[in-house]
Amino acid sequence: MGVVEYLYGPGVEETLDFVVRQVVQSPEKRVLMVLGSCQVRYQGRARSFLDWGERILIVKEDGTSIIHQPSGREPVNWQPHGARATYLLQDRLFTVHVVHRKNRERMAVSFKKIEMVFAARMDDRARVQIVGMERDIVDKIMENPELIEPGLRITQREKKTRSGLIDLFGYDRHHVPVVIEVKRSQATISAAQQLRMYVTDLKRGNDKARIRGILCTPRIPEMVCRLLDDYGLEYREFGWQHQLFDDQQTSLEDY
Amino acid sequence: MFQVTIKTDYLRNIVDATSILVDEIKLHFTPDQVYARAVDPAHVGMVDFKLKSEAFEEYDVKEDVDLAVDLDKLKSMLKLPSTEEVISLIYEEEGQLVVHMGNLTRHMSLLDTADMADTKIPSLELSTEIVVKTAEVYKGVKASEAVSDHIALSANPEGFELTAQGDTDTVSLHISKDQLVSLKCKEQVRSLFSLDYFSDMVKSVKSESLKIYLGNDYPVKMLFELAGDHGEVAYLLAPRIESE
Repeated sequence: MGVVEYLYGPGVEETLDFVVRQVVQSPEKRVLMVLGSCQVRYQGRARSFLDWGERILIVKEDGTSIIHQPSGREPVNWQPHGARATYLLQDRLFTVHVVHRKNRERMAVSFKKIEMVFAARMDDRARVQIVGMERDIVDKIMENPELIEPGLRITQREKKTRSGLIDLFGYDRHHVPVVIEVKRSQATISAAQQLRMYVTDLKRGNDKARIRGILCTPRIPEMVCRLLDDYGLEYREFGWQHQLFDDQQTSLEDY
Repeated sequence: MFQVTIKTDYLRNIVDATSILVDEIKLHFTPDQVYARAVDPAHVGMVDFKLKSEAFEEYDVKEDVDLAVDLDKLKSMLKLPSTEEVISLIYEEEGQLVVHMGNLTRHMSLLDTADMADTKIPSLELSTEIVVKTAEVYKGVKASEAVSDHIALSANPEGFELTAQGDTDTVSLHISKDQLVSLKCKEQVRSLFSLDYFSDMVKSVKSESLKIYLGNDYPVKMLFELAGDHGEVAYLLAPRIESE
């Protein structure tokens, strides 16, 4: 962590002075956080007013500004990156104006009592990596169709039908067309129905046409299994390992 | 077009040494040697071997030929219950290698060399050179596998050390200068490696001693002899960055 400066229970003037010194005049970008009792006015796509309450305001180094109440995941008000914050005293209140010119939005947060304020230089160059997406599983099956069954060939990815896009389409070893629908989590009734629609679409009204449908998911509840059986469809429980990249391992290409 | 005959053991050594990193390899046959270079898909480990014509029982290569082989196929041949001491490789027809092992013949289809890029060897400056008994390093690797996924190699003018730090346990193997075959080291060096790769590499070393070139947070190079002194295998392994 770079610099961290903070004050406990500063007055409004002291807060403004602190923010000007530690954030506005700081040569490096810093993240500001204010905890206290505030009012929020917002004007943009709509207008809103939020009366006094104890909240946390975070102004990130890219201008992103967020106000959080004591509960809930979503901020009660926010401005995306590219916004600019200005700080001043208005009617004896420490006020932060956040203006997003491009979106024509403005947000004003006025604090009457401040419990804590901090400014920090934060160092974080890591990016979030996500595994276990539906696409990852589709990729795995594309790479090695034998994971589903021996002799299976995948010929098309995201094949169009009237009801939507089929994840994977191919032929089994007896050259029977196979439709594969992949879901990243537990199979649902609607996934089974979706697969049935795809298969029906491909049969083009000829119910005798032999087309197989396979639902691939990590887990399939009993109820969905029965429904698939009724529909004459198949299923594979297809597990995979979540593996994140090892960012500490260097490559010989670096030398 | 060529015909060569080699001791089964030597071929097995080569297949073992390369198949820890790749499934397919491009072999370059020249009139006086065979060589190959390959890097694993993650570009973390590299193998570079050469085998002089003297290592072969029979070596009849008139011009340069590149062959790309599926190592699994060779492996499956070598696994057969056979006591044949030699194996012959005959290349007469494009895209096909004929392998004779005693009274057994296999026509092996080859891979397309056009799809396989030549592997570039990074130029490394490694000042420290350690020659150590393979059995010692093997012992250190086996002990380390029980506690960690990583292994640190370090050296100073007094000796060479392997250390593995696990969550709860630590293993270290110190080999002092006089227990080493030789040591050229002016200053302390240390690099950390994935034990997965390192142990596979060490386990495929067939010679009695192993030459290790080491730097600071830098790739390691390991060199060992094959087929008496008629062949040589070099491994390169990229380091891990040590977390603080």
